[in-house]
Amino acid sequence: MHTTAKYILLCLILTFANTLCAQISGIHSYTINDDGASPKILTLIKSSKGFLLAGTANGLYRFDGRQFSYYNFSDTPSKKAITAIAEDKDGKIWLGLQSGQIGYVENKLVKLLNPEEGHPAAAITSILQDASQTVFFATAGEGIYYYQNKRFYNINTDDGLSDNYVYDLLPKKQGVIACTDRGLNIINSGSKKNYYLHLS
Amino acid sequence: MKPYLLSFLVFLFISSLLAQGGNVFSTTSGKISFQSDAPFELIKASSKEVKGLLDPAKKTFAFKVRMESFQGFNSALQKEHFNENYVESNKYPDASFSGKIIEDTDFTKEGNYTIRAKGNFTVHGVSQERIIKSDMTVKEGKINIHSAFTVMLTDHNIPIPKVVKDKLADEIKVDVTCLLEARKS
Repeated sequence: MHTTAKYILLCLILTFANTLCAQISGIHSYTINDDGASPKILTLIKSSKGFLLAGTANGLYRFDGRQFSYYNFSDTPSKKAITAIAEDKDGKIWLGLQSGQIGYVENKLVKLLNPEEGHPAAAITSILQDASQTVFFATAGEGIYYYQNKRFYNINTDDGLSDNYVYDLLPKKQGVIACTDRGLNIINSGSKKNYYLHLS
Repeated sequence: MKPYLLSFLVFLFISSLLAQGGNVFSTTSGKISFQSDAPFELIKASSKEVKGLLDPAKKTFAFKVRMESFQGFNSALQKEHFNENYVESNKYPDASFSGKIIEDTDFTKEGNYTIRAKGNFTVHGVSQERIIKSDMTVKEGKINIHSAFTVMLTDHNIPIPKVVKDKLADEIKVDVTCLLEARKS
């Protein structure tokens, strides 16, 4: 075969290959289209049951691979934006709202906790359950809250936390690591209600 | 913690608030009431001797009440049992709550606010860290605070004898109202 013909054949193969690639692309867009509204997704997790749970400016949606379905609130809050989602070891879905309220999913409804202590006034940025089953909530301005024996407790800069704006929580063997602009805070779960801070 | 050491620490905390000067608000006649709603008996008692200080600049506060100042109960004997057997007023004369307010609130601006007070709540010599939500009204230079919260007796090592199990609730409902005025320097 002539050299020119070889180049033409190579070009044809490459052109054909590119066409195939484009056809088998795995990208497909799914949009939440709820009564014409398309709320912004603020946080996303995959549940242990395989569903995607999307926290949006309008509340919680579940994606089953084909379509989104909405979780109604048992009591409609004035602000519905969900900024953090986590699943605990019992499969319970915890939700953190931009308003600082904390909720959970029960019987396909979003229920809000109404603790005696009140709820944070700052947005919930992250939720994490540690090995001792304590659920931690990071906030954008009030440090960390943890929920234990139906009471909320707070850890903030007065307790040694490096910053009250906590971006994220990471798991550790006993306790959590809190991520702030002023470094990482290793919070060890100690006795019943005490958490000790070691700044790094 | 020994009761006298605890009282001394609360005294030190209050003294430090006073020493700082500025617009510190105080009361010596706040009202507190509690209610035990058990299946066989309802017990109510109250006191008008809550002492408290609030420093808006530092967001710190300290409140205490003498346990023997509670009046009410269903009988004189019940009051005696309360002081001698349950809260042991001789050993632990005061209940107290001191700490810091979580919210940044402008105490100079008149209005109604919801605040959360984070601190150590001490009864029967046992301290527990608590967050207590309160409704606050700032009006005409005075601060009115109202709080309703619950206290688990087991959290403060207050035992419930089996014979009174149905007459004394595990969880006590507490209601506090204090009108704080600026201290005259």
